[in-house]
Amino acid sequence: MAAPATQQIKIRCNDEKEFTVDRDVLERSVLIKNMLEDVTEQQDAPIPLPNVSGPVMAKVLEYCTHHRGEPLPSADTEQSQDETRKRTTDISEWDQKFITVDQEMLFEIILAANYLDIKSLLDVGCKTVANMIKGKTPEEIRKLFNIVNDFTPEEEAQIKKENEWAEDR
Amino acid sequence: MAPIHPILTQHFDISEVAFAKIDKELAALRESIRALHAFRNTFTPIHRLPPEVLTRVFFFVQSAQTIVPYYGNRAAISLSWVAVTRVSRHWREVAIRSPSLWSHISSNYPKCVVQEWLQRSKAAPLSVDLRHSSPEEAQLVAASLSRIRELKLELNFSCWNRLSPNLSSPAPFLESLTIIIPDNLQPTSTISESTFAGVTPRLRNLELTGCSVDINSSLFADLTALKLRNPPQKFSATDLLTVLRKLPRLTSLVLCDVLHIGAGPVSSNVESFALSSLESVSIRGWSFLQDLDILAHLSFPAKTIVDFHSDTQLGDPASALLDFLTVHKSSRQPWTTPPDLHNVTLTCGHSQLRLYMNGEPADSSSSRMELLQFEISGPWAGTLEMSDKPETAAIFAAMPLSSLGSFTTNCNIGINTWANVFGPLPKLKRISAAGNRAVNLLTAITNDFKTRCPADYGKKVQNKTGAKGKKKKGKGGRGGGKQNVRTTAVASTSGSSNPGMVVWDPIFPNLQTLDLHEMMFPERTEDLIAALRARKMVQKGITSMVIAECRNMSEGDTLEGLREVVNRVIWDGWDGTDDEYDECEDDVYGYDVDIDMDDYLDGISLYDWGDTYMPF
Repeated sequence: MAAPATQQIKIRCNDEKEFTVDRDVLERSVLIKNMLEDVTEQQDAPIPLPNVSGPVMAKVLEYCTHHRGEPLPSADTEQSQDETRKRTTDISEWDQKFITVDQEMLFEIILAANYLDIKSLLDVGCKTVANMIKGKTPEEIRKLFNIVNDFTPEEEAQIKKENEWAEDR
Repeated sequence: MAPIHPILTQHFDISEVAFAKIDKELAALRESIRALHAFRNTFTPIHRLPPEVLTRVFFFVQSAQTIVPYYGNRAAISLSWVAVTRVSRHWREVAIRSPSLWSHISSNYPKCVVQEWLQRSKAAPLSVDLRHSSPEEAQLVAASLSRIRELKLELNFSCWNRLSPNLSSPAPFLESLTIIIPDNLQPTSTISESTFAGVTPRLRNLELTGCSVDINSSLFADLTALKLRNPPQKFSATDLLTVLRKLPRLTSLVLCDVLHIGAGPVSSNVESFALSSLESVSIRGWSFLQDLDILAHLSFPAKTIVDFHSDTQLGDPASALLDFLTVHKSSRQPWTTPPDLHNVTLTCGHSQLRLYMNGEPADSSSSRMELLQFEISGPWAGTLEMSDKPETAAIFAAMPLSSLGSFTTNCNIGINTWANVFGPLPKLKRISAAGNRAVNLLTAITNDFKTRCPADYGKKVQNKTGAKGKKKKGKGGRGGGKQNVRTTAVASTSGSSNPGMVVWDPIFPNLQTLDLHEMMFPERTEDLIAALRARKMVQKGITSMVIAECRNMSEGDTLEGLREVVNRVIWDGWDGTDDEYDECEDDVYGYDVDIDMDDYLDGISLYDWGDTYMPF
């Protein structure tokens, strides 16, 4: 007997790019899952996603398709923050390959994951940024992200004094 | 002093004004530059991350850099992650406004840091790790008890005595409490009723080492993990069970030297009870029988991992082992499902009996765990006197041996024990025996052949089928002619379904590998060879035999006879004289008999014999 057909959902990005996706793939996004649960009647109009562009959504859908069927993490914010602390920054091999993109795309993916409420993807993005930061000096971090030092000399002297205890620890 | 000329004063005033004006302009320009820098930063891609996401990144930076191994099982906090607060004003503001980032307090930090972080953490729940801290730090932490979620204290006795009176206010958010007072024999290191004012409603994880606590303590409520190690004031078994009964949600239990040595058993009016959430239990200590008593009164799910390790020099080890096995059996009572015993180590005195009990029950309804590999060795077995005593029989009768695949021993196991006590052991494929008394095994195999095969049986078969057995040099154990009859008869019985035919099922019918080490090889081996030949002819033959460091072994009839009835005989070439020892064949020591239990359980365990792999 053939498996029942999966419901297809249409979404529209802020650049008018549209995707038709299996419902279980889209439901990796808590935002879209809640939207779909709120809609009682089936409608053909695509779900508008004004904060996500087509190319970024394509990457997000690639992630969601790969991880479809996996259990969704707890939504308890405080608890999840604590869990975040205890988790390592290890990233699975597939996720690592997936997230190997330029900085522009990396931050777009993180923003999209945050907007769409896909915690596991958000963690992959944040861990990737954290791994880029760890072990670096403030100056190296600035260079990495094209940030300039906007502290006044007085502030910097104060901060350095304040952070003396952190040196070599 | 002469007055300053007015012109000079005027000039001075002008200069002051000018400098002030210029400095002001410079400051304004610096501020403009700083503002422009800040404005420029807003255009960087990473600036698009909202503060809550940037905070999440900081958490990961912190967790990636803060866990540093400390004495193997503890963690220290590295502070290098705070570099993120020195990147830009925006990053600094985001970090400092995230109280949870500052909620780990450790005595590894300099004193000024503890104070600073307590302030930055605002009202966030704290995780505090103090080791031999100063009185000031202890005071600071004590003042924050109302928001401590996780508290680890590793203090010497005097530090604990100094700190403990300060732990007298409620700890409403405390979820995990660890107190370690190393090597403490002071009976006064006690958690009193006034500790935390008796208010710890969220406490789930309690670990106490070297620290006593009353059985009526309010800490013993709703725990999911309990670890008690070496309290100065020991519990009685009855009291400990009273504590455990209050903890029905327990998932992890570790008890180490908790009970009085030699104290009486559990009161007869204490009933057994279930810890239905228990995932692992580890009981270690010197109070062997009391520890057993605790186990005997608990029931837990089938998948609970049990680690029982007891050291004792009291009582009779044989009785103790029997008690242990009885406990193991009793855990299969209807009110419980059986524990999945993984690698139980039972230590008596300085010797050991190891029970490897791995794998799942045959099916979910089966309550029988089977021993797959059994090793008994060392002076423990000597103490047990594995000769043909009733206690020995009782012990082995209590053991789940029907699936045993491998048996290793260097003990004094009597002939009768080999022959009758273990039972048929239908799945036993390998015996490794060492020591002078290992010869008892060979004698048992020989006796089995000589006594269990009817003498007239061969004749009946000979009449029906004719003699097909190979006649061997008149070496039959019972005389040449009779031996011929026997081997012929035995040969014809293999798998026989002919009416009236008696099938001889030899001792350890599936035994394939025999490793003999450091034993006195029998001077007369004719009967042994006859028995092995008979086994071979009924398809129950030994396929591999290793003989190493055995006295009395020599080339000639014995070796030749063995090689005729055993597919592969490896002899080290040593016949008991030391001058030849150095010339022993290396290959006998070159093999590595090592069973990977995972492979074993998958049914593909192999003995590695160099180039030859023999499925176990």
